[in-house]
Amino acid sequence: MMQYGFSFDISRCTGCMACVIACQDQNDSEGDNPPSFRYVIKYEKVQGTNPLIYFFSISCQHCGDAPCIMVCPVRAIKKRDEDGVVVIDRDLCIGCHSCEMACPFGAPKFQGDGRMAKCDLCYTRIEKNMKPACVRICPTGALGAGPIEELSKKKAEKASFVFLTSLVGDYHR
Amino acid sequence: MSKERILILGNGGAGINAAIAARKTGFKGEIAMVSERDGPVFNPMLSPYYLKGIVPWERCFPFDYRIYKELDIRCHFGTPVVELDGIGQEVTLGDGKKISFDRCLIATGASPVIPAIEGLEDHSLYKTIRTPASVLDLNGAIRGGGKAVVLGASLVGLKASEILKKRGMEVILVEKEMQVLPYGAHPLIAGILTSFLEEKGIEVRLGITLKGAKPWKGRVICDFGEKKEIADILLICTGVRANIDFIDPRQIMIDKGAIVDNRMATNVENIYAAGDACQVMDFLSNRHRWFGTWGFACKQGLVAGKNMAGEDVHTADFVMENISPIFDWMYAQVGQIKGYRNDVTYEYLKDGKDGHYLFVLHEGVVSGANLINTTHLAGMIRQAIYKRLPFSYIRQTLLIR
Ligand SMILES: Cc1cc2nc3c(=O)[nH]c(=O)nc-3n(C[C@H](O)[C@H](O)[C@H](O)COP(=O)(O)OP(=O)(O)OC[C@H]3O[C@@H](n4cnc5c(N)ncnc54)[C@H](O)[C@@H]3O)c2cc1C
Repeated sequence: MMQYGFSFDISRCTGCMACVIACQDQNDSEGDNPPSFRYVIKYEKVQGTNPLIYFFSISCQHCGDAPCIMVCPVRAIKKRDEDGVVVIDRDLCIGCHSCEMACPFGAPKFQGDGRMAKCDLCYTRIEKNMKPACVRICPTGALGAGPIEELSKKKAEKASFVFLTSLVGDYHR
Repeated sequence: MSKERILILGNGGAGINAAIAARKTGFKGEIAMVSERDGPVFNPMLSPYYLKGIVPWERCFPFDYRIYKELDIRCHFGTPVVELDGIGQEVTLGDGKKISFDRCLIATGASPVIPAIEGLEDHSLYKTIRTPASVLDLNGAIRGGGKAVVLGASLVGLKASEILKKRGMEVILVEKEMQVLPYGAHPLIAGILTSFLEEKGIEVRLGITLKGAKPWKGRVICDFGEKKEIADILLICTGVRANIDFIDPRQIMIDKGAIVDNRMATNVENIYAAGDACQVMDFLSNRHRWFGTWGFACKQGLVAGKNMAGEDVHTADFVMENISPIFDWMYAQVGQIKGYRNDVTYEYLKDGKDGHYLFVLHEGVVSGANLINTTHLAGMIRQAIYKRLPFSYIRQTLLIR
């Protein structure tokens, strides 16, 4: 099975939030202030006397062994065979929030109707050879997307990869 | 040589996931399944959603009946296991039939505990929520305008109170401890929830025990000592107990469930256990604990199924987690709030009008949290507990945007 995913280069992210806006715009959900599928967190650390600020742009990681799938009591969450993208059938969702507890990335977002919605890697764009909205807009090239074999080859040595792995890495032990 | 046989006791989330995993792993032998109840897998956690009118009855059975055929499962449904001889590798069913096995999974779930109170020997006096029959029975008994007494302010008790209230009943929620959610919530959070339930019209009575129950003209007289209530429904939500009476404790180690390691194996070779019938390792206390959630039952069943089929897979230790809507609020417990250790501190934060966080910290590291309307952080906080991340990290990255 092909597995698509995001890559993220922490050394390039400036926390500009363009990805968040692009995601909201692409996914145009109901309500005045719908939660965004992508969000940015800031992490400050002091190294010697230097304050270091990191930004992480996070959304659904379309995990290989996605923990949200199994906990869903109505089996509304599935992985697409063709690209490994994790998708939800919103018609089935009952709003129990079990996926919210299972996801280490805070990816499931609950809309005004009480049902979950999340990043689908803009697979309809990918199918047309376009980049996901967040990747397309990223002015510094911090975000990328594609088949994970290619991404990990390119990004494996990047600090972001190491850091994110330390944060969530061995969840699937 | 005859085919190898995996025998699965129980047709719930744990049992069916074990069968799916065993077949996915390539197990070609026989899979047999015994279940007390006939019919496809029922998900008990969907019953509140059915009773609230959110899901139709048929969707409380998330796996199609065809799955048994697809997975080539030999079903022995409609009769319970009454005896398991782990060493002799054989079970005896209620109808006297015996089934031998090469590997066996105990996935018989749990049942509501009925407290030893005078009058409750008469099953017709009270209702419970667990099996399909009990849910349909409760559904049929709900009449708008009547009075319901819910015994036990567990999470199921809170959900049940909401259902009964929404369906037009007067609801009295009775708890013997001095707070709601006595095992899962910090008293401060419990107090906030109590006020909220009261605002929604539920009468919450704490520190009260039921002394006896008696039938009266098709209703139930609930005797609380100083006060009596005549209820149309007495609903018991005082907790559950693993269905493991058929286990011989001289063979298989049991406590509140069958004790298993991270491969879901018991101390007896070839005997595994998963779901509400077992007790697994708790990450925080390093002791075996009973967890009781649908997601864990499914995950544990999957691991047991793979191992029974010849793989060697391990689960991570477990961290307690509960999440649920209560009326229009979302409540969650992550990790350990009470009884973890004595040298903990608490950090309470408010977020807007109805958002609350209560963190339990040990040496600055998060070991538990209660969340009200801030559950978007539940999974990340659970991850922080696994990673033993300092509270300062959570405060900085997650709480302050
Ligand atoms: C009202 C309610 C609300 C809940 N809400 C949530 C929630 O929001 N989130 C969550 O994660 N979990 C929730 N749960 C818990 C969740 O439903 C259980 O943890 C989960 O269903 C356990 O699955 P299991 O397969 O271990 O057991 P079960 O689903 O209990 O299945 C056990 C199976 O074994 C069979 N059996 C029992 N005894 C025998 C015997 N002696 N011989 C043969 N067969 C036997 C039964 O018929 C059944 O088929 C809730 C439970 C209830 C009752």
